[in-house]
Amino acid sequence: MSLLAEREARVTTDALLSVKDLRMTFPGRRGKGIKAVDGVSFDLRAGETLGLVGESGCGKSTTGRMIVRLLEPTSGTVHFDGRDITHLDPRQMLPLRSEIQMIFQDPFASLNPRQTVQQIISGPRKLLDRSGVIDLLKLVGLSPEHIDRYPHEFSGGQAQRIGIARALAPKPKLIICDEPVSALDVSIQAQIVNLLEDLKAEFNLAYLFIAHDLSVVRHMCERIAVMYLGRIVEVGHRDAIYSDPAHPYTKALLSAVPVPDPEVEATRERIVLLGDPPSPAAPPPGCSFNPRCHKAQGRCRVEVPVPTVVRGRQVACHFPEE
Amino acid sequence: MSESGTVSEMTGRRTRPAVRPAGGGERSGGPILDVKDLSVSFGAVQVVDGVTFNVDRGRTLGIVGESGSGKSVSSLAVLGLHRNATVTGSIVFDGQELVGAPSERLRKLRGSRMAMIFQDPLSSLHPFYTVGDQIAEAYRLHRRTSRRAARERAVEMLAEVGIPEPRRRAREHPHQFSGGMRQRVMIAMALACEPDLLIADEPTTALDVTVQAQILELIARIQAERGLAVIMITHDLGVVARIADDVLVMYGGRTAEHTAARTIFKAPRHPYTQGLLASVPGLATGEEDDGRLKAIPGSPPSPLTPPPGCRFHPRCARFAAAQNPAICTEEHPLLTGTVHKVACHLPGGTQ
Repeated sequence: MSLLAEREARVTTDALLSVKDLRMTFPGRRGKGIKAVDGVSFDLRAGETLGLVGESGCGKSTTGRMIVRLLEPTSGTVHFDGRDITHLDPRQMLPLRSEIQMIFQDPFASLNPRQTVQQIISGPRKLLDRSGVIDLLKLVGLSPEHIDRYPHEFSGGQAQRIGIARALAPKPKLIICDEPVSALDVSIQAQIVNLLEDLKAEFNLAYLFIAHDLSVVRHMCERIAVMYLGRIVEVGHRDAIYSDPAHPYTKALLSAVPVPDPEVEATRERIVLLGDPPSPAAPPPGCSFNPRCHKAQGRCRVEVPVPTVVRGRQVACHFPEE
Repeated sequence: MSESGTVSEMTGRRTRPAVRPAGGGERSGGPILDVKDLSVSFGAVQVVDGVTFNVDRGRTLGIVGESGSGKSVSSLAVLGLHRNATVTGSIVFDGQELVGAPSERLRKLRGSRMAMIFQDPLSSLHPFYTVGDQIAEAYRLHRRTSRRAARERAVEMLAEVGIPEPRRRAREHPHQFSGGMRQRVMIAMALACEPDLLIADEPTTALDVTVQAQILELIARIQAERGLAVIMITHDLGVVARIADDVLVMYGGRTAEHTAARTIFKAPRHPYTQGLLASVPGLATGEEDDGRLKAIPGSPPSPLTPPPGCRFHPRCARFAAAQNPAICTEEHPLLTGTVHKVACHLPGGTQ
């Protein structure tokens, strides 16, 4: 508990975004709730990029959506710029909407097909005039003549640039990027990653970068939080997580990523996990990773591990890797 | 096929990748599939333009490309799955010419000697029938056998692909399976008739990485056991590095580069391959840590409006560095080389 209190004290001082014990329980069958997010806490400083990684169903997107209040959290708090925004009503949220923006995975699904680029970027509140939109188009690598076109006239990479321009229009401090490159072709992904990094440097943006591609996350993020079944199992600096993972899940996840080098692939040790991630509707008792963990013992099956500091990062495991 | 093999497949263990026998299978002879100068067009739109490759038994060919590169269209042409398409060139499967073959003959080969698995197993499985019935039906299409024997075969195949409790699971419907388990069901169905060639079109793209690792191991194990020829179509260079022996890089419907997997990754010669490899961020500390990624500018061409000459020239760093030579914009580069084939007018050094 003292750890939590300590974190709380730090949070109120310098974090741009501070998430504490956030939970989201969706109604399930027979009154049983589905715990999609089960007590997630982290902070994000201004100008920082935090990566949120994990497999499908781990709650990473749900976490992002609760922060922008597309979903109403079941419990927990979200502080932005020192202010509790967890339960603001839509009218109170309105001024904050320009400070927290979001970029989505599927650029076509997130752009209105009946609006022109100008209408999309200037937004419902007409934040920008025509020349302002043109400036933004240039900034994200599109040309001014694109301004009167419709989304279907663009390629996936260009459409994602429009989505980024729209997010930038209200001059946000924080952008939640939910899988912003995973729907794009490989040769386009690097362009968008570079664009996001340039924009971050230029406008001192903070990103919450939600993704499952571990190499892109490593490139983009200073700190990384690994989620499994609604909880953060390990969070720390990029180098600590990637070169010396302490949670057995992080280690297995990293070893499962195929590396584009046949010689590395032929020789490296790989941990093949058994089975699939369990359903959040019926999580296993104790540590949620225990049924797939090669280190699991009796204690792991009954007791939920509390995050502790191991070699400079927080890890929630009874038997962290040496 | 043994139960114990299945169990070890399912346990979380540390493994080193299985060493695949070079050349594979007990049967010898030429390649099982020999494709020469394959072109596919839909009306006036040419989607695949003169692609040549072959696959031996026990070997894996990785076909890499982005959307619109023609990688899936080429493989569907091998199975004769295109309607209203003009397919020219030659596709020889185990000595039989398939281009222009009667559809009845193709249908007999398809599913029995050549099989395919797709990216999304849920849309390839019928939601109404149990998975056991679907595997049994596919089996009975090609083998004269009783319903009961076919159902036994389905259970046997589910066990072989590592599905626990195969007898009970055979009576379940696709929605009762997870994504990874569904892909195992598709593999079981594809392998039920013991094909010689398996075409896998992005089989792990929709799966999580830990499940992807399981499926790739499964394909490698079955291939080693049966001497199966595999064509793996993917956009993921890591997947290719893990399982392919040879790699064909496609761009804008044409072959850009074609050689052994190790060579592609170690000494790529086509500027597109080089650009693609350079643009992927690494996983290990120390690689391009704080620098920018080396992105390829522009986007892949649409088959509707392909650029003239070399399809890659509008995005090519070498073309720009050579001050836009006319040959690149006017002439389609021919694939040159014997072991390491590259189609580029400006064969620069390796990277």
